[in-house]
Amino acid sequence: MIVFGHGLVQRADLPIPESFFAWGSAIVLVVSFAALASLWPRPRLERVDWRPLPGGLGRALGSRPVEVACGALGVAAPAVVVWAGFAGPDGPLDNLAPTAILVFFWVGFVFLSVLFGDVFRAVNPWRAIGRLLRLRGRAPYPERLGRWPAAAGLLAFTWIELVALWGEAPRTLVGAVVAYSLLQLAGMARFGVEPWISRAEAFSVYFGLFARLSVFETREGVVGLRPPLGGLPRLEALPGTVAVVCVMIGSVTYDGFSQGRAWRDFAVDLADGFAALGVPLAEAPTVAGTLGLLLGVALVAGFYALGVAGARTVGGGLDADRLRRGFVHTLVPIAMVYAAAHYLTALLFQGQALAYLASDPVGRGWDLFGTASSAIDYSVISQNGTWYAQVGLVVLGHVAALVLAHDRALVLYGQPRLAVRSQYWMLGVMVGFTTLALWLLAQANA
Amino acid sequence: MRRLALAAAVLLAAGCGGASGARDDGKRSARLVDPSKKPPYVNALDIDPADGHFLLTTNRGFYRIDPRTKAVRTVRGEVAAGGRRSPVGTFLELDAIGPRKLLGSGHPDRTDAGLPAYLGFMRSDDAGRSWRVVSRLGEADLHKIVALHGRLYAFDAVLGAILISSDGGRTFTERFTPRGLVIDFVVDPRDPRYLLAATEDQLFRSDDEAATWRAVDTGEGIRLAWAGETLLRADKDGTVLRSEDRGATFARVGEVPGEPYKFKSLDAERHYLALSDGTIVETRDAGARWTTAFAP
Repeated sequence: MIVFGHGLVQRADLPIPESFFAWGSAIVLVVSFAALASLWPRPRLERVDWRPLPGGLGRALGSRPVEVACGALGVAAPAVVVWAGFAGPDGPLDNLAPTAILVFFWVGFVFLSVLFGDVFRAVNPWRAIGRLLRLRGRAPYPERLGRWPAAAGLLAFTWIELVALWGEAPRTLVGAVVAYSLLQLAGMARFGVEPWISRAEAFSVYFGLFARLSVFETREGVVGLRPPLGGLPRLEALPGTVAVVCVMIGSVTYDGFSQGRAWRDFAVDLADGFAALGVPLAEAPTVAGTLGLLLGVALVAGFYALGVAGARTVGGGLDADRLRRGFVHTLVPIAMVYAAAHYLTALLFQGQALAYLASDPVGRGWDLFGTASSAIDYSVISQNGTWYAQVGLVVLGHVAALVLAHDRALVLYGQPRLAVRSQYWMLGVMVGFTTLALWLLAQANA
Repeated sequence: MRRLALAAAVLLAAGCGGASGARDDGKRSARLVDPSKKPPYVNALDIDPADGHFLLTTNRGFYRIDPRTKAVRTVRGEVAAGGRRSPVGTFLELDAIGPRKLLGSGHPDRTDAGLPAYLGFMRSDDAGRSWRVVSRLGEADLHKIVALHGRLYAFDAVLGAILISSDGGRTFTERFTPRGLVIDFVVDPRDPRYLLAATEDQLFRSDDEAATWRAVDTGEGIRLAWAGETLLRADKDGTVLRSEDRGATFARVGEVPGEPYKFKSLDAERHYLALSDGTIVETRDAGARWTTAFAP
């Protein structure tokens, strides 16, 4: 969004300057760190209590009929969206597909996963189709692939969303959905439904990681409760997991940065440079954006590597790979708050557009739900309210990351003193991520 | 949408603006605006019914322009509120509601005058020489004020809301607008509940008096005018379009030689448009042909 406000910020005056929020957030993290060092001497999160929801509710929610119903809904809804994408109006504002995919699906399921657990697994259309077709696979899933296919899938999706901007071309967007679906069917046919879905299918991995923040967890067909954050320490750090999380945070970093004047000015020079090197003029901005997205991911990866390298210096005999995989789950709350804070208003505002778009999905004057003439109410949250919610989310997420990192350090190092020393570096990483997050949000909001 | 902006910027930077680029010949005058500063360059254009003079406010100040002689006179206004005073004129929004009677909003030119940065809703009965604050001192920065249907409509950049008043601006109802600064809005002359509003890259409509909004089109820097049967739109690249269906669709009808900023409509056929350097162009056929009414 282009800034157009003769030097005066558009947001209503905050009671204190924006920079104070960054300082305040950093202080909260340091105080949290000190409190953890003195009040949390033993690991508490590695073993998690789980108990089913009472009164048979947990069993009912995980029952076969509910599973079948969710699967059917999970296939039918995307089918309508793909149909609307192809058959609906050309423009992104009138076509159901961009809002359904980029807002409801991509952003909405982040919040649904954190609040209600792995709901995407229940409605995952590719999993449902794979199970319906009884795809059992012909080969074991290669261990070395780990979550790398998911990382590549997420990077491709964020490129489509942020760089190629296929959200403005509904037919191209749903064409990509069809292509991705065929890829998933091929993967499930070769390696089986569960191995492929749990490791290679990008959105299962993406929403599954966020679902580990939830207090709801399904075990053997029964939905139960666990403590907050309880799902993350049990994350198996397969190959590619660090890459997945770096794409999650790095893509939002690029999205925030690309809305600021600094990147826009630089991107024009960059695209100009690519054009001078022979890149077609029309493609030069896409090449520049691709480079920006990759730099965003590399920045986050480098930042994490710095924290790991620092932690190695405190001793304890832990190699870099063990540290890198040992602490990767601590980045998930950060990824969550980056996404949640950055896309909060997209969900709250553009999400309302679903009411009128879904009521007339192919633009033929239908009014299926009686909401075709509705519009978006921008008073659901004020601009200052948005800022406070964003700052609150960012601070909460980073404190959660510190808690997870401290708990894991106690396990890895065995000695509280060494664990705390190793976490000085992690504290630096968290303060850095917090400051970056607030700066990015300020860029986007200004 | 951001990519569209970037692509346009790249095309211009590469010297390939072509038909889609603003027709900026590099000879923009700096007499009435300071192009070295960040936009906006022009804040308001109106006509004083007392003498037919243009009233133009920019990032340099407040000017009264005689359309016949082309003489330009700087209006040195002063705002008073709470026993404090400050010169006022730069970044000033104004709307002429009668001979020498202006409604306005803006910022004090002297930051050390003790007045808040946002002057709220103001009124002048002497053609802008003296201003008194009516309401919302320190709270509102009204970028556009429209007096129509016996009401006042204004976009407040502080709240990000359309403010509507039925008591001459003493009290307002707040209606939140789409995120992003609203750079222009118009009210249907036949329907007080129907509004169109443009942000930097999108056009929205509301049919419930600004309570809810729907995006209807994309476009950079859209400026709007609505008088009688004519709804005009001017895009940042100078293209002028007209709508016959209340803004649902637009068709290209003409172009202006620069970046459009502020419309002033006299009737369905006659409209003036201030460009980014303070040039004022005029159409007498609802946007098809434009001639220069004033060049700085």
